[in-house]
Amino acid sequence: MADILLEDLVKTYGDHEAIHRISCHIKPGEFMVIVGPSGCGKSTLLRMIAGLETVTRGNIRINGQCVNRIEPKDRDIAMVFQNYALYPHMTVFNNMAYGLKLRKMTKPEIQTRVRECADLLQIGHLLDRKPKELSGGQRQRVAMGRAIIRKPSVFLFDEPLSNLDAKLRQSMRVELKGLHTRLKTTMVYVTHDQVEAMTLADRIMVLNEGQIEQVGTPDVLYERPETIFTAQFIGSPEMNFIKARIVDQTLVFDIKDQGISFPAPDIELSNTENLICGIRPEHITLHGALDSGQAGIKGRIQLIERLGSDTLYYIDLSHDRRLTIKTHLNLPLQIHDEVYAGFSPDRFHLFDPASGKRLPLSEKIT
Amino acid sequence: MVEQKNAAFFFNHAVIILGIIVICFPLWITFVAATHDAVRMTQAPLPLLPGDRLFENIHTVLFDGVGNAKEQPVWLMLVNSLVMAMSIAVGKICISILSAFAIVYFDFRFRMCFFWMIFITLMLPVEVRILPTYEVVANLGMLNSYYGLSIPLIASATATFMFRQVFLTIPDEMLEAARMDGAGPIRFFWDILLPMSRTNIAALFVILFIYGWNQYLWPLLITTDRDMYTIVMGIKQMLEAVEEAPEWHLIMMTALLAQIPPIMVVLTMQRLFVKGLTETEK
Amino acid sequence: MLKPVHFKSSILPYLLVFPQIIITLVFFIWPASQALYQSFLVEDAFGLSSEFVWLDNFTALFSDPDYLNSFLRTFFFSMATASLSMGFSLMLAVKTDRVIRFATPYRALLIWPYAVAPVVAGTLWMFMFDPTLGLAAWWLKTAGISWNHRMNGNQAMLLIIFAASWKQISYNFLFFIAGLQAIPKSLIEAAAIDGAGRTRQFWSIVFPLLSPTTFFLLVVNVVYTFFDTFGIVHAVTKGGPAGATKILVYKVYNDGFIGLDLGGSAAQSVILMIIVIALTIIQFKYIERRVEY
Repeated sequence: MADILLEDLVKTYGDHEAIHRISCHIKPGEFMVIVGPSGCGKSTLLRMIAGLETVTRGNIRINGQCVNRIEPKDRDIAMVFQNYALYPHMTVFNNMAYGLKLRKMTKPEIQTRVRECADLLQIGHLLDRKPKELSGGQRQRVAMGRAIIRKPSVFLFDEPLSNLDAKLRQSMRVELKGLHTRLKTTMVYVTHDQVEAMTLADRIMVLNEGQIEQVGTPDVLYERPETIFTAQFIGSPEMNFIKARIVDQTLVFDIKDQGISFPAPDIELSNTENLICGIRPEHITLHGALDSGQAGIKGRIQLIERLGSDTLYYIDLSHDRRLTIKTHLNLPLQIHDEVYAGFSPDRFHLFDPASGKRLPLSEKIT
Repeated sequence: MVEQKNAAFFFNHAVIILGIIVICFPLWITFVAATHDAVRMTQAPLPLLPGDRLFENIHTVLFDGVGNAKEQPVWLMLVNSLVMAMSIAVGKICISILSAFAIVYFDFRFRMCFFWMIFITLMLPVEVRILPTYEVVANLGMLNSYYGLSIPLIASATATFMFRQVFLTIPDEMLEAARMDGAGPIRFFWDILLPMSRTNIAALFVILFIYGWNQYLWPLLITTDRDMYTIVMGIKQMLEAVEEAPEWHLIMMTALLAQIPPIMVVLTMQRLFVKGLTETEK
Repeated sequence: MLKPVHFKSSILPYLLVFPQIIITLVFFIWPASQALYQSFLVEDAFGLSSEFVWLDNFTALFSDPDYLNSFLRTFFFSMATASLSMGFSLMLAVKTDRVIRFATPYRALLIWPYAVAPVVAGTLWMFMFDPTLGLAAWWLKTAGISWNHRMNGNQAMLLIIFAASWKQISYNFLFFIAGLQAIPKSLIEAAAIDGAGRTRQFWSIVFPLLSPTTFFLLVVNVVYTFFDTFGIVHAVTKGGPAGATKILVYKVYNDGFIGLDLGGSAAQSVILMIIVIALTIIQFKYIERRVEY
């Protein structure tokens, strides 16, 4: 077990700065998932930790030791690559044993290690095969085996599940989580898939354009996203965003012809005119008709997606505004029906569109 | 419709078989000539069917020699050809794979300069620098030696390019994984790169062996000592005598022996041969 | 072309390229620059002193009818060999592509001439057309044609064209087969549905789609006929009779090595170099384009 400390990490390629001053502490035994859209720098960051990319400025410390100038092989880490990078001409056994051989481990020792590791991953029967005789899932296991066998103090994963089909990805996810609880080794895992991030991580680092948007547990990221980007990135389907303003201690949605307002506390804000209110699809209720005294926005159902346990409704408001609503209720509604969307203000997330940051106000809406 | 198809079927096959006859006829005639005796080979028309002197002729040619090269038995020429073809093929592969490895996997000063230098050799076949190259070899004292026969021919742009191409298609993660496993450049080359290029090396070997075996102008220039004659050259020396006393049956036997090794290589390693031929041209 | 991930090492890469570079320098670049240098010099009759004469050697060459003649003959030889060999190969390739059964044994019987050395190819053809004994010559005689390539320049030219084409057939055949197999079968089926017959399909679909291969082979064949056919000429005709088959590469050898005309031979070498460079550039330009295609 080791901890990783990133201190003001910067990476530039020529004039282009790919990573801007990233600082973060990954605790011993933690499963940290780095998530972000493609090109956000997440792979670069992982490869810097691995030692496959040089550090332009700042420090990487593993177990307190600065590793900026230490070769990958001497960092006590192992990595699983997206395309697995298994040596095509070696058997599964030799693929796993290669690193140990180079570390001058004795034959019997290697034998027992490979056995042990193969049993753990249930690939004992594949040891004599070459990679091209394996299925995608089996290759994935071998790639993991090659990492695990060295008993490193840190595991690095670069989108390891993205080449698998959906079903296999799900089961590998479960296994990976199980593996972490068993090995208790520090893991850093890069993915663009927020579901993977949410299910696997102890903590998630959301990365956007080379900068950290937020670091936190999956719950915190879901319940209290600090930026519009995080709010949008975490959660599926995506959060709804509605333009809003605060007038006389009330929050008013900026939807033409539809007045709906909620009480808001009186806090000094430099900008009250131009706000963004985020509401998750699962926090909006759907009604065929409004009870008296209930407030709601009128719209028309444009599309219904039935997922079995849940149903997604895409509601057309006026003027190209759209709402996504997720519910597990089975409502007797059909496409083109006129419906009302109901809100609970305690589930609102308010953001300042200029800075993209969460407004402190959000917690105080009642 | 079916009849039409049948007609097309027979027509196609007829054309191919005719083509094969045209292509194989010279070899057949060679074989036939090599199985007759000297007397039969002076009477026109020459035979179209093999005679009974195959083994005598083989023996004469291999151990006694022919025509002008009389004191030079053909088995020695075969050995010379084999040594030259093997050294050229192995030499070219070795130095090309090493330089391709350097150029693809290392960042060093003059890298591109070296690359262009190798590229230029593509444009300088022996034929355009006959005299000065001869002088260089003469000054280095390499005339009439295996070194002289092979070393000046083992620089190869095409082989270097082929290996470069092969290396470029190997995923970068392979190197990263190897580095994680603790392999340095030499280990990586030996344990990963070399085994991964095995079939390419074999394919290239087939092409280069034929190239080396069939070299003509170069040995013609630098070997004057009969002991160093290669078989391809030896045939030419035998032809010189044709106008006075043609020993066609022996010359054709020599031609047959000269071509059996490379033809066998092509036929037994057909798949590698085709791969080598098409890949070196990319 | 450098891997984005690579090694940093001070001395190792230099050691790795060293053998290749040293051979290139000693046996390629130095002699080539010597040829270039000598092409500007004239030596006196005894080879004792030499004088720098700028382009005199070249102007002498191009005012020498013998050289111009050799140029024209080489060009004719090259074109005739390329078209004969490529035409024959294309026909065989198309036919072989159509018969799926036996394709493998057919291929084996068609590709072996690649392994034959040019000199030996020359020897085989020379034997068949030997004026007194050769089978082909004898058949021609019975058909009323007198064949003697030792006397008749046109027949000598024809003979080396035959020998050179024959040797190159297998190479062209293999590339045409590869080219044909790269053409999607659906295109030909679409043409068949549109009602095009076999011949029509070939000229309107197959041949145009094959043109990159054809062009590539044309360049390769020209290079082959310019340089690799030395052995054929040397064995069969020695440039004769009366210079009828004295192609450029044979003339360089003859003037330099036998005639010992240093400056003139060097100038000829330089001209050949320019031809190779031009052909190489064409080939590479074309390959770049093929990648996009």
